[in-house]
Amino acid sequence: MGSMLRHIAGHLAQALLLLIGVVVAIFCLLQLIPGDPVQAMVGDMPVPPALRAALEQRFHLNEPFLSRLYGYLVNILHGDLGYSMNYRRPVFDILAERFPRTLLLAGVGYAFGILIGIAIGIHSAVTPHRSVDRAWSSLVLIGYAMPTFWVGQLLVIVFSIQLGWLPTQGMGPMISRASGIDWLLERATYLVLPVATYTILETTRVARFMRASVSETLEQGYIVTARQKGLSRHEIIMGHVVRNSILPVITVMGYSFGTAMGGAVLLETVFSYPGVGSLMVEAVRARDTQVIVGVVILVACSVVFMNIVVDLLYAWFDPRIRVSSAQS
Amino acid sequence: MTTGLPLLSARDVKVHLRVHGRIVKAVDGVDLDVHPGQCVGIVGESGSGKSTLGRAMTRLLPNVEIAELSGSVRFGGEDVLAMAPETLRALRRHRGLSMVFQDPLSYLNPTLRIDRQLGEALRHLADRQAIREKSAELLRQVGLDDTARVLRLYPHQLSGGMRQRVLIAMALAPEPQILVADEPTTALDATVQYQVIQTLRRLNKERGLAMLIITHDLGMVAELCDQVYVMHGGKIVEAADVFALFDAPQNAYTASLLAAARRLHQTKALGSAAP
Amino acid sequence: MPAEPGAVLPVPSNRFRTAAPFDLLRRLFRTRFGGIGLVILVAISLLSIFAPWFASSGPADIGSPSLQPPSWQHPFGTDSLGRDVRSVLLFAGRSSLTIGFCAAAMAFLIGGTIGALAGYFRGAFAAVLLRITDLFHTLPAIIIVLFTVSLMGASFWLQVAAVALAIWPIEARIVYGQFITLSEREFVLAARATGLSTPHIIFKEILPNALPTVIVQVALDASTAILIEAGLGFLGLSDPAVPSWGEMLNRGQEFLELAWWMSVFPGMAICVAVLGFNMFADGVTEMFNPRASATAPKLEG
Repeated sequence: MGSMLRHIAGHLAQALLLLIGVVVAIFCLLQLIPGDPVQAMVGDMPVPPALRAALEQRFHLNEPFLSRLYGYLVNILHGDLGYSMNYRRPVFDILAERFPRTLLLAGVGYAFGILIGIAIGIHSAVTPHRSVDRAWSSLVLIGYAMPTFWVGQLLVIVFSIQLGWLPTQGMGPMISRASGIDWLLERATYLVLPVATYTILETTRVARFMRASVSETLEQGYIVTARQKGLSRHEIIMGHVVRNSILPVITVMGYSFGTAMGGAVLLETVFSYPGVGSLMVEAVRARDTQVIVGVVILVACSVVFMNIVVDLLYAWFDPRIRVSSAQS
Repeated sequence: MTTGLPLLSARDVKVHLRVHGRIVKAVDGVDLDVHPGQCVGIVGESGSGKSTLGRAMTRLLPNVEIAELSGSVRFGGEDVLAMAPETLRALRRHRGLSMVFQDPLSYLNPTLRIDRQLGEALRHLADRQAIREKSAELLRQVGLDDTARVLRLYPHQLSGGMRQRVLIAMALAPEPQILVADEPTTALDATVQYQVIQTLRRLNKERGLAMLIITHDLGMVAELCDQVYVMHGGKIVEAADVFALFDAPQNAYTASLLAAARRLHQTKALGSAAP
Repeated sequence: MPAEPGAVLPVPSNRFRTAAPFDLLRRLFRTRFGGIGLVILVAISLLSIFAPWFASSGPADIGSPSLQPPSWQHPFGTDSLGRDVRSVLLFAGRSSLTIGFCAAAMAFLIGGTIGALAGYFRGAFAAVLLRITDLFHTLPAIIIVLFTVSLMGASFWLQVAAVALAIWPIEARIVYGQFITLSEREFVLAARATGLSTPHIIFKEILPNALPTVIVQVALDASTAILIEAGLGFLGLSDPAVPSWGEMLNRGQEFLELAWWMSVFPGMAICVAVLGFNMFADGVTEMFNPRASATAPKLEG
């Protein structure tokens, strides 16, 4: 167990360094923007002199580089990510309000996608019928090639517009008189299409990996050993194949969470969903630098966090990491 | 020794594979017998088809495209090659048609403990207690006496020789009458090789376990086997009692094999202290 | 040792063989999808290069009635500006594909160089490079691209650079990995032992053997680049002077209800292009790694 804790501590330290690196890099890049830094912070609006003085003081704009950097880092640690002129609110508050919504959508879709993807991957690689394998592989390939937001558009066209089953956009109706379970269901209908889109996105990625991984596992010697013991097909798959094939997929999970976050930017635009993704787009259009930076830092944090979770998961599945080899 | 009905009997076994579009006759009409308690060796150089033969006989061929698989392999009164999958599985569980391979590390599941992997072979036993006891006994049979510790380990925590012996133990789980081994010591160090060979020898002589040893190591054959088949190009070119073979090989190819082995042995002996 | 009649040929471990190009082509076509992928790539390249010949009207012709559903005259319908969607699609394809290729090439140059340096020289130098690679790898592609675009604007070449910035870490990792594994291989050790110079080793020994993996990754990168660029266009943040598939989808978003064809066809075009690259990449992988695709091994008995 001791080696596992050391392992975790090591990864945490690395993650922290990475985050600091990201923040420092962003800070440096921001210094490179030509022109007036105060104007850049404020965006497209004119800057009254009093505000300019206040901002310069707050962000130590007249001090040397390193102390500015230090001040910046300290601010972030205190949760001060700046103030958005566009929205007239502290950036932190905006993020706090919108991030859970994105997490709900992306998180649920991501989780479903992984489960379904694993199932498809296994089935595809294990089935003795080559045609079934080809069919799945083709579907997955096509799904992978479709731009995610386009999938969203298609779903909207089919299910909302043509069939009228589900609402096209937003998080909930403008006016709602439902309560209790009805309210929940009503809300849920708005989430179905976006979540489905995320799920498709994630499924295609995972299924591809899983199939390759399972194919490779099936070539391994211990599968032959399992056959010799007289285990049935089902027992071999459940007992040996799944556990060993999942490992490469787990390593990919951290990275694909980042992709899911990225997908949020596009999908929330398609569905007009008020999360962090659409926030990013609005901020870029309004040149609201504070918000942009805030979103980037937030996304970096969540991806890094996810990577740690993934590392732990991997260690749990693969005893070679947890337990050091001892020669006898 | 060679009286009575053979335990395992192969007749006209052919295994033709399709590799890169061409047909390769890995095994081309082989007849072979193993009698109860007998230790039979199949020798030949790489590519002679001996491994393929062994794997065909135990129906554990790897994932290559098979152009033709014909002949019969009679074991316990039935033809293994013609058996239905469920029958074969039942046979494996209760009577055992196990094979031990060259590289023990890849033949053990790295994510599972030894007790779990051994237990899988012992599911025909009544309860957990019985399985645990039998697992320990199997380990002792192969010379791994610290059973409680070994059972809790993962494969990567064992040395190569220990892993190979664990695999042999697994093969012994269904109380088989025969064990097939394909280059069981090639991947191991010299001292460990010795241990494994001694284990096999003990199993053969003391327990009367019949064996089919597939190898290119003539030294091992000389030590363990009673009967030897020499394979070349997918066919058996000579079959004889081990002493007869070494003293007076009938076939030119066999003679050249023996000569080469002697030269190698002499070079080794000159170069380092003899093991 | 020459193959004997009874020999079972193993899969060669040194996978790159100098074979005649036709032989390679034949092998590609024997894989599951590789041949189809190549055909698609060639087809869309030709369509893009010769767009003016294939299109029925210029990219800026707004003469036709707007928002017409698909018909004989306009197989893909017309858009909100009265342009023939099919024609716009072809011209937009030029920029989308060019951005894809260029971004992938740039990513390969940047990432490949960094990966090669890290892989060959190792040590602390490599560690620093890898950390920087990780930094970029952590962030999702779109975020990087949006961040870059917000800072520097979105002209055509800045777009290419922004996309390249998002995908170079993958390339770096791959090249690094290849250098690591290949440096340990016998033929490189032999080359070093005989005193061959470093550049010679890199270019004549390591690179040719890393080639298949690199080709696969570049093709995949191109497909990713096209998808990223499409996203950028969709958000309305690409260069407005240049028509692209993503931009077409941006226009289509407003008219989802009225004119589904404005969104469906550009999306399909993107799909086909990405599929082409991916199938080709899969095919090349299969060529050098046949086991990945063979029939599933029997698990019963």
